[in-house]
Amino acid sequence: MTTRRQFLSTMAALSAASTLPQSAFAQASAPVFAPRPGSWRNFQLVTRLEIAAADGRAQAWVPLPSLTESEWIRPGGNEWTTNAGSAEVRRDDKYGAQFLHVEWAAGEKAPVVEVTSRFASRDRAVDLAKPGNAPALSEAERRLYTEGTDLIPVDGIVKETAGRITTGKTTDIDKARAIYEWVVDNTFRNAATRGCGIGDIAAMLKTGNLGGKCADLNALYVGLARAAGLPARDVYGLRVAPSRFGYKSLGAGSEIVTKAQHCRAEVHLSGHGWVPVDPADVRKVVLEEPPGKLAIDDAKVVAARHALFGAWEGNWLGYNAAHDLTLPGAKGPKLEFLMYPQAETAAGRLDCLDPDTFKYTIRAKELTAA
Amino acid sequence: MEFTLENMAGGRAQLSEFRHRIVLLHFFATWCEPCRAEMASLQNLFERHAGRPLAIVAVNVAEVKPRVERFLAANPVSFPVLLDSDRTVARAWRVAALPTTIILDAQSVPVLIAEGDVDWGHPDIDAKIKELLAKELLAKSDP
Repeated sequence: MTTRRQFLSTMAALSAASTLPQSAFAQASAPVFAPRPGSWRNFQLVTRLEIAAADGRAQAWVPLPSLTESEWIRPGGNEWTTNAGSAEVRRDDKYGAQFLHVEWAAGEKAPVVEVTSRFASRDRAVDLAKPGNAPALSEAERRLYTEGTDLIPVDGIVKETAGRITTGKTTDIDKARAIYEWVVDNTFRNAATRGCGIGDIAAMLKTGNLGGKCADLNALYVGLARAAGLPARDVYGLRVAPSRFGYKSLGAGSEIVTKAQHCRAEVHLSGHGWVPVDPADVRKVVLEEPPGKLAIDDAKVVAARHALFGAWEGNWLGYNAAHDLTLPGAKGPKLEFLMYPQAETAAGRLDCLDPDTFKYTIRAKELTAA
Repeated sequence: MEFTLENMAGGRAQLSEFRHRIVLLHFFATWCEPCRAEMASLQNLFERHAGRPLAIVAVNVAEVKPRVERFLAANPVSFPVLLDSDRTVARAWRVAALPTTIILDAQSVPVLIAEGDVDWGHPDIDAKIKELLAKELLAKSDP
């Protein structure tokens, strides 16, 4: 029962609220995007691949969760069923990317493989304001993550641009942050880009066309960071669940995640270890977060921009951080990165960006919620 | 720099097959937005100069054939399209950005390089092509 005293108290509160300035309401309902390490979440991923137009011998390469990082990802094993003659887990020597290599005999009319992978992940957040005690990279690791790749050169226009961005920045954190802010301010997400883009960063800088998707924009971050002397890497993966912070653009919309590939980036900072960064997702929020085409100073964008230098959400699987991957047994050229299932028939390599013709589906399911 | 690449019919094509003509060696990719509009512009150029010693050779850089086939179904062209699947030819020709077009004279010597998309119907561009063709025809008529 409401007493007269309570009623008067409520009326007084309402009256006070009605006199609050608009900014106080805005502050009260400000969007929150603040991943914090918490409970681990367990996921199951099922990749089903059928080669629709098998003509002669066929083979496929299905990416498997390959990263083990105690702070945020733990692979939980893979199983598969197939009518192939052979199926074997392979690992590339340079980056440790794992994939299932499946080979069908020429007589197989309906090649099919279904791969079930399990993994656990959780949010990440690195407090860059406090000194850390993360171990340093080995010399070999530092070399690997500061060198150029086929599409991410670290000399020429990339080096010149990185030099301009980091002029006057004396610490690695300041340099890493300056590059992050520069990528957010100078690039845009291009909805017309197929897949996640290709990541030809020298061409982007040379032409001045800084539009693309995650494999373009985050590759630009990685290349600029490497050119500035900071170890950095792209992590190629897949969104597997909605964002718990209500950001529609930063999560998977359903269990079917066939086209939910997304790559993120990391920069290695002394004392802090690998630090998550994702300027491409800031640009995704700008373009796609409802109602769409948000201003850069929109509160949702500001919150994501603040968080995505140093944190990311664990609703995503990182497959691997490999570049320029040679697929064993393949007739086609090496891959810029391995984020999509790949296959070849006698006619050549299939189009991994056309899953409906290829064809493949990927389903993700959370097994245990935090 | 001679090269041999797979064509869309599954055969092989060599650059030297186009010798004794002005050649527009056009590097493109289907993911490159300006490349789509430029393909139509190149097709118009090709049709305008039909019967003259002008060849257009389009080289797709590092994409799988089914993707290029789908692109060409939507953007049909009458000139040959070749597949540089591992970027070997693009690298050899120092192609740094797509699209890039290198105009070769009849001796396969580069005379012009256009980095970025070009409106091949622009009067200035057309005049340049005609000038190159005129030189070539003049050279052929020389005893």
